[in-house]
Amino acid sequence: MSDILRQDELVYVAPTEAPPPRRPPALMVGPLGWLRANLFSSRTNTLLTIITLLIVGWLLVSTGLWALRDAEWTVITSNLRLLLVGQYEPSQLWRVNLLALALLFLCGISISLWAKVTRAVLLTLIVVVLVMIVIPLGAGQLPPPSIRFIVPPDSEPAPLVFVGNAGEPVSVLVEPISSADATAASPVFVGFIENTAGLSNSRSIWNDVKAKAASGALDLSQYDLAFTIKLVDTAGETIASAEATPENPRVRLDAALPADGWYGVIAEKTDGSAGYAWVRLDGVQTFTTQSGDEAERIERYGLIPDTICPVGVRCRQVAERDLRFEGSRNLATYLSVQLVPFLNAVILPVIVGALIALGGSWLGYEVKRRNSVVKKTVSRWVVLAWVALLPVSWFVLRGIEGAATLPVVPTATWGGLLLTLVLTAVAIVLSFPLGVLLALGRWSNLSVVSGACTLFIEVVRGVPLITILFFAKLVVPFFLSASADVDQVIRMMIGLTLFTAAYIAEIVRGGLQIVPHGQIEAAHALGLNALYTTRLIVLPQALRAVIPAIMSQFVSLFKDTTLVSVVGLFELLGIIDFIVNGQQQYRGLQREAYLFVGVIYFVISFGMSTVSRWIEATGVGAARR
Amino acid sequence: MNEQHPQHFLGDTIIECRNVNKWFGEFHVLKDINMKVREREVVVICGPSGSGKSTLIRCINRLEQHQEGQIIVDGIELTNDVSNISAIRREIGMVFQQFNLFPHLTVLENITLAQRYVRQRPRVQAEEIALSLLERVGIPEQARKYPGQLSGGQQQRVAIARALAMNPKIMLFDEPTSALDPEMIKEVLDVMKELARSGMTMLCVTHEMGFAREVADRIIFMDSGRIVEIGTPEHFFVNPRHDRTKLFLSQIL
Repeated sequence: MSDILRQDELVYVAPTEAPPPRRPPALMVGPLGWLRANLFSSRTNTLLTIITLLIVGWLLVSTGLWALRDAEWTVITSNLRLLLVGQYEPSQLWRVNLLALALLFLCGISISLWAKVTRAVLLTLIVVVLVMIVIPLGAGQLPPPSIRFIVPPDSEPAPLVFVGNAGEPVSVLVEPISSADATAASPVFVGFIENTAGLSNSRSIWNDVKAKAASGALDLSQYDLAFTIKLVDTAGETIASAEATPENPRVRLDAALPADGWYGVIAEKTDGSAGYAWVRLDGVQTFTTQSGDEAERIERYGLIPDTICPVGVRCRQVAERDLRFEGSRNLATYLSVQLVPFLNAVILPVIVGALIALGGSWLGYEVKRRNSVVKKTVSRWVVLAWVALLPVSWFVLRGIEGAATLPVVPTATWGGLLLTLVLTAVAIVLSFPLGVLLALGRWSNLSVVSGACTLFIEVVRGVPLITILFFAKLVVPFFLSASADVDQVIRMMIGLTLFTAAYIAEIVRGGLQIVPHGQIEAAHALGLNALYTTRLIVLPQALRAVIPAIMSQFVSLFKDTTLVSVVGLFELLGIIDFIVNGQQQYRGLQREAYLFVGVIYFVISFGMSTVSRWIEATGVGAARR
Repeated sequence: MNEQHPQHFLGDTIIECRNVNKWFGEFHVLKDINMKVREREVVVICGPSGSGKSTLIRCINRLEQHQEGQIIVDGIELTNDVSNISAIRREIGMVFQQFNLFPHLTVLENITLAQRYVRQRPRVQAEEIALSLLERVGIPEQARKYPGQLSGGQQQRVAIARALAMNPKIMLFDEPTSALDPEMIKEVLDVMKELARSGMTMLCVTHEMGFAREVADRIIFMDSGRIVEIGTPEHFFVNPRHDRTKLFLSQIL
């Protein structure tokens, strides 16, 4: 060791030519490098990765199995209209459809005018629509599940009606219910069981029989039912029939249907006082009672003829509404029973919507390719259309007093997704400017204005939303006494708007605080007055900084609209209660309904955050520091 | 008449401070300021930090409010009257230490904004003026960029162009080179020298003594809120009279 630096330590001069850049070591880049750096960088990290994957996997698998095996999705298919628009007058639904299409068109044209329809988005859309078309086509080839109803000893079941086409083979089978069947631990059959609301339906009888057989209160070996089982056509003529007697209870009817039309299976009771019999129907397609489906069916087959179903008799139909699937299903059955009816119900709107949106974006794309004057004009019109959309929607949805083509649809009947979206859209559009004004008021040097704004903001933020909604329900009529009764939906809009505005105001105030004072001084030094300084210099910077926070407030608002159910409005979440508890045949299907609605909430919220991230990253939102 | 700068002839008095006093709360920041600036004159204000020099020039376009005395700019006295203030601000351009460009606007928009909203110039005319000014400060190719994409020196030159676009009679510079890397100071000073030669009335707070010596008609030295000494560059650098001035110069030169 020497105390003084050697000559080569003292002086270093780099070579004139800098060395060329090299690639990093192979293990540090690419997918392998990513895995190493992010998932397995240390022993703890590896352990956490594995545990997390196991937990997530278990959750996904168990939910998936439930959804594909046990869930009863017909509750969604049969109540689609309620979920989407509530009890909005069905004959006026064209207004909702029209607005939805207008919205999709505007979205399409706006996206291609101001952003870009990426190939990934386009491909996803096409694949989704194709899958939705292909699955029903494929599943239509599968044999339909059997449909059962019970002939009880003490009464004669109402006829079961179905539609069929010429040549279709149908078989009807009668078999007594044995005590082994009734006490079996797992379901003894796979297929639909009749579950008509308002009648003593086969499913409740079956549950009753099982309960009594298990407790020994019922002896199923006593069987003395004797009845005639008949297959009748549209005119009420018998196509096939057979006598089921206590000695020979297992009878079978086989028939090829002679023509397109309505058919019925009738069990005419002749004798008997003990025992229960299944009537099993094979080869029959179920149908839905969705309004579009029903109209199409009536056009093709006519109404249910009173020759099968005499006036005054509430018939059982092989409709999703009147059936419940029992037993475990394989995937094919699941598809044909659960998914296909749903897809059939939504495919037409989805295709029309997708085409309109694509048409809009194609138009936007064409416009963009033209010169900038055309683009500017069209852009201006599109902006105008967005601005006009909300007020126009209000009048279209609600109608105009005394107008023949747009009769008033009372807002009390609105519900489901429609109500949720209307409340959200109105509250967003009104609360944003109000919130900005409140923030500027609080920020201003005028003490009275600032004090008033602060008071409002703090009071509203210090109170739960539900209180504000009750307040809106009870107090708003006093302020707006001129229009004697303000409807509930408007009151809720006011409540949600005021609540959100207070939060927006606080967010915007945060944004105002981060605008450096030098910006204001520079604007003043240039001679800009206070109004211009705020509008051109301060607000653009302040708002840009708080876009994520504002959008997350809007997502919050979207979910908070669920609280309007406290004043008796059935928005998307509230209507589940109405569907599941208000209709006997859907009792116990909350899980399916809540999961479905949860998915809708998630998809829309996720869409909103995606838009937010897009605004942040591009165009007006990009930070340029 | 100043022998060093025969290229421009000074005009009438355009800024006058009479017994100006200002307090920040209890703190007496400007004490009995008396000074005059003539048209086309270049005045450099220097002094140690905290001496009140920035506050003084910020009072001249009313970014700060003085509490006693009179400030008269171009014959208009600064009062609380809003129309007076905006009339004066239209005559005065200002360049800040931190540039204070508007980060959300392009360079071109930075320069055209006030022209359009204050001077009511049509967009096309405002853009023509902006481009010619960018040419003058030497960065015409940066017009479509955002301030964040420019170097400090370029940003300060944009800030000068932005102030000039309003056709001010007076330019105030508040330490325009203090936030710049040494390599960029020169490009800003060159623009300022060119501006001085063109006959602009300029009031500069700066520590660039080379600039002061070369360009200034007069130098004002301030300390502790009062004017200690006023003089021509030769007087100031060669023959300062006040002890405080001598001490200051001995430390910075």
